Amino acid sequence: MRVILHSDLNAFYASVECLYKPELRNIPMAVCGDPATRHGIVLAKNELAKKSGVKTGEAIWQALAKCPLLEIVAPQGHLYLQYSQLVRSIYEEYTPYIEPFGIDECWLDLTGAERSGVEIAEEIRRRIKYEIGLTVSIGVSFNKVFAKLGSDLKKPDAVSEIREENFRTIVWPLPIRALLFVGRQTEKKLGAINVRTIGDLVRCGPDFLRLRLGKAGLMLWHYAMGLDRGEVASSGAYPQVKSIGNSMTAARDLYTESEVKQVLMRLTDEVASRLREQELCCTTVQISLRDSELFSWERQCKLERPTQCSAIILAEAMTLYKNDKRSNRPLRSLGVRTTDLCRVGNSQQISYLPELQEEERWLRLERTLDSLRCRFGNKAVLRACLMSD
Amino acid sequence: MRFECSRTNLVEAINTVQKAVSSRSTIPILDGILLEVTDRIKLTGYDLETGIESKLDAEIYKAGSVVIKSRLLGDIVRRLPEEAVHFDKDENNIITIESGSSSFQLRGLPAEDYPKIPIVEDARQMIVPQKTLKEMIMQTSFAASIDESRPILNGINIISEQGTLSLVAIDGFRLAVRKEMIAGDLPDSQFIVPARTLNEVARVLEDEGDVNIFTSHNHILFDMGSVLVVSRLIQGEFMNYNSILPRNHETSMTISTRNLLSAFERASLVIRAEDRRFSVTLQTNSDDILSISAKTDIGTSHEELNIAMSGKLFDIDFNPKYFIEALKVIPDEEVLITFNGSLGPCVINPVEEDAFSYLVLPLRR
Repeated sequence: MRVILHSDLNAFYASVECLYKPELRNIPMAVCGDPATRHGIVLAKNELAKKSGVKTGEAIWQALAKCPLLEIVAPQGHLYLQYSQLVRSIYEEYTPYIEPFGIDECWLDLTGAERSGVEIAEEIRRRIKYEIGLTVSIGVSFNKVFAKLGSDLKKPDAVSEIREENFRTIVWPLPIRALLFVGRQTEKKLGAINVRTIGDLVRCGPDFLRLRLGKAGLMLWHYAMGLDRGEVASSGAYPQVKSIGNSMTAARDLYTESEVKQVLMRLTDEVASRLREQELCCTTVQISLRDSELFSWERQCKLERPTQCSAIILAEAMTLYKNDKRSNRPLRSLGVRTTDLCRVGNSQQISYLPELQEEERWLRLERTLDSLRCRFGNKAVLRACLMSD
Repeated sequence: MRFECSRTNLVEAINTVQKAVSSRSTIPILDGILLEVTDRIKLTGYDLETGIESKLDAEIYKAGSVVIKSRLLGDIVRRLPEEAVHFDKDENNIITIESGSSSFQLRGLPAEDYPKIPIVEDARQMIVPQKTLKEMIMQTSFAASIDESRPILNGINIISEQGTLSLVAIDGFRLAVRKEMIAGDLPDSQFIVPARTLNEVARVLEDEGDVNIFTSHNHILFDMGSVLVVSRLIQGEFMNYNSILPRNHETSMTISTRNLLSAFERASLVIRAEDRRFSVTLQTNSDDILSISAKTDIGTSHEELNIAMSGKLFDIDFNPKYFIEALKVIPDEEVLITFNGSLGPCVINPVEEDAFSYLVLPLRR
């Protein structure tokens, strides 16, 4: 029997902010994006705000309508990464099999440990509380899906176990939404056939679910039966990446080609740098656009050969943008995504074709920038044309 | 149209011309094989770039012509029960194929709709032994580029100069040249032939007899007696291989061809096929031992081979595929390999002769 933990940091962003400003603990507060750059939604909230009905993901004005005294705090991304890493270093003392699920959640595989899963979970919970000052909810079970479900059972600062002997009585009465990968749409579809709880789902049987939901239906039935066999990825290994992309909403609408180019440049530099970090090359470049009326669409094209060079991806993204005649309205947000990834070594084949030599020179420059940014921080080297913004 | 022929000969002819039948043409009739019956049978496959004609003898009762779907025709003839095959076409273009007690009826397409294979006019002629040309193609065509963004490099440059014929293939990272003195009158000329065409030609070439090569401005024709291959030439300026081949070198070594090939093949075992550009490292610490190693996420491999080396010690990364493909086509026992540092070109030559040269560029670490 496997021993899998799922550890979820409670109200992560909000809790980190409360560490730095203890006075926020006793008033309702929420970490929100900046409305001036049009990122004004609730990212995380503390317990008091939660009690007043503030929800993650809603716009600031909606939150304020429910809770007029809500204290709004700007997010500090680097701080959250730092704390996520601190917590991770505690997990690493127990197992190398750690699979992150977002910045604040992790699965840990403790199969074969001498102590029981609950004992270790309790110790991890205590250590994170006293050594770092954050609280976690940990689910302990025999597969990843139930471990995840377990961490949602009791919040905050708690450990819940779901055993093979008792998962039917604990899991099956829960609403269907509690199951991993059941979102709003699946819930609606299942609701239409009167499936409200996980137990209802089990009683439908695999064949019927497959008929209604396809492969996903079969997968959910297996999950509900406790048959998930998914493994916890080992520390350092990353799951098979299918695409690498980045998108952003501009601080103000973009009207001209040069404004668009600046944004695409920032996005491709970041995307290409991640390709290089993971030793991947892409063969397809995709841009996504959203105009001021919130219409969004995508354009994509294939490259002549795989690349991880920002200059080439940017040129392709610009061509896609210039050839796009979908809308005359100014653009609100842009995205760049690279797909059809293939793995490459870190070495670069030398060529005597001028265009390949040119690409190789660019790539060497970009790798140098990567290493400078790695040593001296992301802002150590900037493109001159991005200095003004 | 009515004739009787041998199944074996017909299958062979179909296999040959099928190489020029495109499987996904936008023009439906190009999926077919053109059958023309006069005093012999002539089969034609043509994809508008390469055309192949194959002739065979048969018992002819009535002349005529028709186009039949290539896949279907091949599949049927290959599986016929008896050696004797009887073809008949009626006035409605319905073809009957009979062999033993089995009989097929198919609808043919009108032969008039089939595009004409270009006629090579005002041609220059070269006569080359089939065996020689076959060897020359095998030693170069693998190095032609398959990247379609530079069509010129998808071809092989054929150069005839002062009685010497050279075939050159370049893909941007490596270069293969094979030269051969040709007896008889060889007009000076040079042209670029799609490597794909030459691979098909090499399949048909035999160890005996000569091949007649005719070239015009746009086309080339290989006449091997019963089989003809016609192809479009690639227009443009080919890279000058002499400017790429280095004049000097820093290091040279001789090594057993088979041993080096096996060592590269073993080292590649730890490199996943889908992993591109993973390298194999060649390194020397003394002038008589070469170490060949690879390190990937699967594992590592290391081995040492005896060499005779002169010049600077080296430590260079290569794409193993580029070495393996070249070493496979060198029949000689020993090769002479020269290096120019960790970023310069490396050249492989058979020790005994300089008819074949192969250049490969390293990987930058």
